[in-house]
Amino acid sequence: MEFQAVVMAAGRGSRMTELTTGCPKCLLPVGNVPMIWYPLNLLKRNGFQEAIVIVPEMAKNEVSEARIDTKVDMKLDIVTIPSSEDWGTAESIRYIKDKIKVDVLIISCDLITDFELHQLADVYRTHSASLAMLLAPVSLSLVNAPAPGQKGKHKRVRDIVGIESHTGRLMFVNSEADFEENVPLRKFILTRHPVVQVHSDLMDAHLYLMSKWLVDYLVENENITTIKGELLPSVVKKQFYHSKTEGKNDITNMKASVTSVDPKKDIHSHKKTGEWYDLLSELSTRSNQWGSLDDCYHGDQVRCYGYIMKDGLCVRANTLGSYAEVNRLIPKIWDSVTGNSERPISASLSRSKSQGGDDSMIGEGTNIADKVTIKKSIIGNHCQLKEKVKLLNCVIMDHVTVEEGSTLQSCILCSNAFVGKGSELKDCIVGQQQRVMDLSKLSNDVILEIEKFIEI
Amino acid sequence: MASSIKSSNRKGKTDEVIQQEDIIQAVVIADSFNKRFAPLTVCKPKVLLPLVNRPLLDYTLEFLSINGIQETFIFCCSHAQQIKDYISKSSWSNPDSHMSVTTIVSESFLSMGDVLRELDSKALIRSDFILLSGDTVSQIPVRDILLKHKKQQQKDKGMVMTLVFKKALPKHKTRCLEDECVVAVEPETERILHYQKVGHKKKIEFPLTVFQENNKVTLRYDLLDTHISICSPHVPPLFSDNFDYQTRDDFIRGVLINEEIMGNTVNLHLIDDGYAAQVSNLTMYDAISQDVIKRWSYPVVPDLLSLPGGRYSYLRHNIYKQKDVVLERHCILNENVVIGRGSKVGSRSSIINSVIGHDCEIGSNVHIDGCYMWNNVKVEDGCILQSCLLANNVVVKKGVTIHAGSVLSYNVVVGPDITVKCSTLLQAEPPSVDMDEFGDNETLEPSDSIVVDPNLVGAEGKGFLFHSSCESDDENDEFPKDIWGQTCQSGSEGDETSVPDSVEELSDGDSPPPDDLRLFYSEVLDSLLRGIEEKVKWENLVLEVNSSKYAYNVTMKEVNTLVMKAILEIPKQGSQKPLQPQMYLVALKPLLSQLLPLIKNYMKSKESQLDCLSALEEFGIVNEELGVIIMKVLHFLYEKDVLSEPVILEWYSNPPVLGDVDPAEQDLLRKR
Repeated sequence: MEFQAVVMAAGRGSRMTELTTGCPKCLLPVGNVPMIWYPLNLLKRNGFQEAIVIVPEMAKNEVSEARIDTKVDMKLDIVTIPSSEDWGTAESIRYIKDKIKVDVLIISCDLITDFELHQLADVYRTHSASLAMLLAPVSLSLVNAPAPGQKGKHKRVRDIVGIESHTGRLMFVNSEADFEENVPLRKFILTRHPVVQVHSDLMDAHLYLMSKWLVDYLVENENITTIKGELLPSVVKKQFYHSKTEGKNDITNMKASVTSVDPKKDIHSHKKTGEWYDLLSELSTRSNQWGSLDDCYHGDQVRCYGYIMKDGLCVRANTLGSYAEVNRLIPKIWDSVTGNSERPISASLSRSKSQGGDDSMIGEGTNIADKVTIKKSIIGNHCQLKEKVKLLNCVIMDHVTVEEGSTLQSCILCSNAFVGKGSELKDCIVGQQQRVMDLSKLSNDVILEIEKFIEI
Repeated sequence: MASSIKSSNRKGKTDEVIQQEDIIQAVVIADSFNKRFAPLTVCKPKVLLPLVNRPLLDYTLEFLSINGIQETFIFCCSHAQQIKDYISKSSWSNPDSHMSVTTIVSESFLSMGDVLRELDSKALIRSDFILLSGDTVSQIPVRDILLKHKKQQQKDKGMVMTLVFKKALPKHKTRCLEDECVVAVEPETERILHYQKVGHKKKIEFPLTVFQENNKVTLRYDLLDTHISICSPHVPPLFSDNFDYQTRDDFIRGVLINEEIMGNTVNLHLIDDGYAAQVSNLTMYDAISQDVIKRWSYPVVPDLLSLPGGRYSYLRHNIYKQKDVVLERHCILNENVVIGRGSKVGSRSSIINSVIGHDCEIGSNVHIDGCYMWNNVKVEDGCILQSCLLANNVVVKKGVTIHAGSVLSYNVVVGPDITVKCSTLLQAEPPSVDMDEFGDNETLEPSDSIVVDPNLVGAEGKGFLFHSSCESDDENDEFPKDIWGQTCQSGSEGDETSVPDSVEELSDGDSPPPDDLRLFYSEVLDSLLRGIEEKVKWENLVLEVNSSKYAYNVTMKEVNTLVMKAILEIPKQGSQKPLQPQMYLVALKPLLSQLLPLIKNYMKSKESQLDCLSALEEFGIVNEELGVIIMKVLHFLYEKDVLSEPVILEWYSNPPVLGDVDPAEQDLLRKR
């Protein structure tokens, strides 16, 4: 086994709390299947037989009830993290450290893509990298997708990614908020990597390949809480610095002598290369840069690479807007992002006199009355759509009832929601088990049980 | 060559854009406005100095003429008359020459900016023109770049200049250290977003807005500045509007800063193949000469150029010979050698990587490596010359060794049997005569008072050291200078790659607390050291320590420990080898008394005294040989009422984690 897959599904969905109050983020339906099915399907397609899935404790039952493992036919090791903790991604990895025996593939539960993992793995293997990450062009339609129930626009914090274009070596990966006025770059780094492409239009897909030793490093450095925000920028930065005590792994860090804290190893002492590797690089005449006869990679032991997706789809359903937009897109992109998996069972519309197009999906056991119009909408299982209901751009989860003559546009209805007769809703979110009165006219509203909302 | 000119003309006719504009103009600046070639430029303009036995200006003019430029203006300042004479005698002023060359003279030019302002006031420019300096060696199709410039200008009206860069990786030999720059380019439009000279900077900063406003930005550090630029007719007026623009860099900076207001932009053109470089200093002179000899600049190579004294024959190993060259028996021309007409090389001499001008005489057993000899140079037997430049009529007497980077100006005589040190600049005229080209005169001393120094130039020598000191005040020291003959790429890179000492490098990614502590500690140590040296009042020292405390967000406990530690550390600072305990104590005593108020200030409460004790203890453990001292210190502090007895006792009864309490035990026993 070359890589162990870890699916990070313990996110709280902090950017879509309206939806995650009643349902763990990883189980929110996208195209009538739980979101987490997509990354698992991706792994399955690429030959993974098992995966570790990290979920929050409170979602454990729901996750096991959802029987994801049989849906994707993989052996899943579901790990729960205590709900009292609000752990970052790095902390979660630290928590499962004992399970990690080889290099890991870390994937987020909200990633929906038609990417072929081997492309990233090839980069990782070619350069015997320490870390490789997938970067994808931000699709503007997703970022700017109007989020129902929200007024005003979210300001997106972009990532600034510096990458050497012909090798894919990462020069720096930071959020724009990490910088003040200037972006500094050391001259000697530029000397070695003279052409750096800086992108601000890329999205971190949260798909990483990571060396085992980096996990060990993570275990030892407990102040690192997140992979994206902390581990990644610092490891990328440290690539270019060599350990002073190269070759002597056990020498403790100089810093330790000042204060009497436990001796801490620095990052380079974690990287274990092994005799063969050293011998190989010593005997090899290969030089992989232009214009100089330096060693491969200038002797850098730690190497981070990025792979920029050139075409294809890569979306993350991590905000309200993108969640709604992904749902709208899914009927069209289903085949490509799932590798032609069978679509979830669709109720046929033919027997009713309703209208609905290919741009919609309708779940099992849903009753659709006459003269219902459905456009660009996802409708879950066991829903009741009464006569003359009009749906446009909606996401409707399971067991939702929409009464006669209601018109819904760009709304998200969580499971067991109820919309009364003759209502007109636009850009609204109706929370779990919430009722919308007859003849309501709402736009840009969020209907939630207040206490619950605050508690989260 | 005639055929190539013709072909470019034909091309011009087919091209509509060019036809509308009728003629293409070029502006050649025949003055570098610096003295990097002094003392050679004292009596000759730089553009007429020979490179591979041919005046620099000829390279530039031929480059323009091959590209089908019809009208060229040469702006000259120093030694203008010589340039004028040269042009009027040369083939460039033949009536049937297809390129008209006009020289414009003004002694008042002090910079490139002045030239362009003059250009504006004379209204000579009708359309886009090529701006370059008179010491450019190139063979790139600059005409195509001009067309591209025009096309891009149609898209972007504000685009006023295209800078031509050649791709050359860092440490490329022909990259000029003074021109090292980093450019941020928008990859699709090739618009320059940010331009920065590297200079001595170790860290290069790019404004964040560059990346925020553009989705993709390419940072390039693989550029060789050719100093060729394509300018719109708007450029000279811009120079007139901004009197502070002296150089092209000023202009670029100005345009980029005022981009939002003026809407002007600058583009970059990258040449992948092709050769272009500017002879900006001696190192570049060396590098470009070698490039020409080694045929990187093909077809600008000696055997294809029309040179005074007839054609060169090209032999293998890049040996070029003109007519009437006499090579005596057993003399070896290794490789990359150019020998001009009428020169003579004696027996058993070897020459490598060198250029020898006309009518030179080289004796026997001479070794020449990387040297440039102009005309009528005489080198007598048994000399060893390394990377040096010998101007016209120089005589090197027998047995002389010249080390790398030396320049012997016109008529200098050295020897016999001496050694000329690295980077020696010699001139035949006494130096006190101020040869300042720009006429900012210093006092002229009578030249008779200075005698030839035989240690410098030898018993029969004639020559004076040229002082380049007057140069440094008008050059900004901001940029590293190429010093010929020295590999001045400082090897600092080596230590840079190891984990940096000051942790600030890494701190913005993650700042583990020990780093802050370390910084704090070193700051405290510095403050104290300085305090002792300068006898700063203890109140001020406390203030300093406290402000460091806030800067690094250190707890009081750590402050106490570290302050104590720092004090104990100070006597060790001075000496390299471990101190003997007695010596240490002697050094520590006055220190402790001096800093007593400071110590008292920190060690007021019981807890702080405990901290102090644990610091003492730790110090004793770390520096085993000084362990004995600890009790003395303890005793001292006890007597001075810094540490109270109960605290010491408590500390003794509950030894903190460190374990090793042996010396401490003794302390207490004696104290009792």
